[in-house]
Amino acid sequence: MMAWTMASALMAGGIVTLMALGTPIFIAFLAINVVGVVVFMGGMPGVDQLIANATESLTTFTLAPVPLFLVMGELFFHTGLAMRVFDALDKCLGGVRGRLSYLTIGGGTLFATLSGSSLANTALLGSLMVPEMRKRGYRNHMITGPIVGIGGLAMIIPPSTLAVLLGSIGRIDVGALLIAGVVPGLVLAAMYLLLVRVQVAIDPDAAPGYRTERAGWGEALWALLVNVLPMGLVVFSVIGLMLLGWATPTESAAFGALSVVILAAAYRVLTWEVIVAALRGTLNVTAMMFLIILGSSTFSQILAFSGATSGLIGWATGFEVNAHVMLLIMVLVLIVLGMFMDQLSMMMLTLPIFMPLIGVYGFDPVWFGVIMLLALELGLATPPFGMQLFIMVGVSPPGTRLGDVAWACLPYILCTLAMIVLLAIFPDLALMLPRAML
Amino acid sequence: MGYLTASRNGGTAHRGSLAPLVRLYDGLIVGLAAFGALCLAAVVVAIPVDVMMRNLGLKPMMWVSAGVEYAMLVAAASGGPWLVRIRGHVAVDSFVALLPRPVRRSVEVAVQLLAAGLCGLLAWRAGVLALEQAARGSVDIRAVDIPGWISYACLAVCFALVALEFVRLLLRGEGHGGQGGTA
Repeated sequence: MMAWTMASALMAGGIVTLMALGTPIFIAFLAINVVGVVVFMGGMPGVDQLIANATESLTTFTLAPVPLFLVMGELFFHTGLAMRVFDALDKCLGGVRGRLSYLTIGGGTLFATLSGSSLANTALLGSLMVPEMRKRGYRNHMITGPIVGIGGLAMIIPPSTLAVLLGSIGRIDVGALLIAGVVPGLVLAAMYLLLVRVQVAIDPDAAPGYRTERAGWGEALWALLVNVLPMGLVVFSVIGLMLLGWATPTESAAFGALSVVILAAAYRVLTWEVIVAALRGTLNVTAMMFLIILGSSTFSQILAFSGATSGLIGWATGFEVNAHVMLLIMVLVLIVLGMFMDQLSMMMLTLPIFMPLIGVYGFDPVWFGVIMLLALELGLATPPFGMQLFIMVGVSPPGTRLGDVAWACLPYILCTLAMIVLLAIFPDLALMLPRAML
Repeated sequence: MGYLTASRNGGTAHRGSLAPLVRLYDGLIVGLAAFGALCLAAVVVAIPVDVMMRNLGLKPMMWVSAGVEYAMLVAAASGGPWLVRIRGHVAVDSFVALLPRPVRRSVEVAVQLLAAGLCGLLAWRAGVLALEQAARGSVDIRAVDIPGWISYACLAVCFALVALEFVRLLLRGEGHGGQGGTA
């Protein structure tokens, strides 16, 4: 049997090399897994086992919220329902300095409670807010920072597709993990708002004030009543039904998706074009994610079979560091990996090692899951290859460098790190709601 | 889909006697994707209907949970080849983009050859397993019994078509592109 160090290098190194060569991620995982089963599990029977594992990895009820949450986001995006929410909030803000940054955070957080797709969230904020902020003379850091921050926030506030994937792959209670993201998500949003306030105080010209058509109280209330309050149906369907113990995560996700359909029909914005576009978008992201899960389904088994899992865990625990240091190391690993690869691949690579490790250290899996989601969120905004940095460079004026965007995101990254520290000190921030679940 | 990068050069004018065959094949790729999307739409409707029927004391639809579980596999398998066509798979191309053009093209061809060969191998094995399951009359025992060959056949078709899509890219001299994130 190959030494565990060699086995680890072959498996992890092989995947990273193939990824770096631009190989589609699911092909990279499949290729290395085929090599792995041939080397460690006896040739063609190993390949057959890989195929059997692949079918089992997807035929599971716990994955069903993924497309359902995505449908919600797509429908909100394509029907324009999300725009109505933003318009209503816009009416309530008045002429406060930095209002568009506040609106990005407030509206983005609300949209995060309605949509399970971080991509849809960023796309909406990017298309809606960037042109207006530029027109009003906002500086780059007041535009880019909030959008990237909120894009990541959508990954922990339910409905979150990434939380479902993490729960399903890591064998963490999906419902508890979704609910556990609510309080940390809201605290993080509050930190972002505070950050904007501080940035405006330090440099008022970064977000120039401008005269607005101030809506009267009656108009603002009416806008909230008509365009925001009905969205409570969606929030109740997803979060309320789970909290009350009336539905499983999959069932509440289905009710959430159905409630968006009902709302879209009630607002008379549900057209065939919208339905087709939403389903197309949902299939795109669902198939993309599920094929990665399918491709990597045997990875943890090969790691275990080759002795890499036990070797790596024995090595990691051999340093006899305390639990907080181990947590710090795991978060650092995720941050470093996040600089180079996507969130799902990171989960697939690290969970086979992290889940046994958290068992050894006695961490609560739900609490660790929330911290992991926050660390995964950081990966979107860290150079050199953070996905959202590239998106924001794309929508910024010509000449904007990646470093400028990364610099703008830095305060938001620090907020997320502060949230991780808060969770390490006060685990109840994440665990109080799951404990209260009926 | 408005916000994900997708190439639109899937359709081209095909000449000669192969044209109807190519059109049929193109239709198959898009048709399968449409079928996958319909499966997801069915899930949105089926689960709430099932829950409501249960709570109203009506006879629950036993097939829903197994149906939803298989819909996940079918949607992914149906969408796989279409994703290759629209360059929808996740890939990190930042490193490759730094390479000189001839080297980059060589890497691209090598990756496409690997993908086509690998998926061809897996399609063959999944097909063999599907035939074995059918011959044995194996059953996947869930809320309702499902013939054991179905899941393997789904993968066989998916892998075969993904392999063909990569061969198509090779023949056309096109890159496989890719998106950068799964968040």
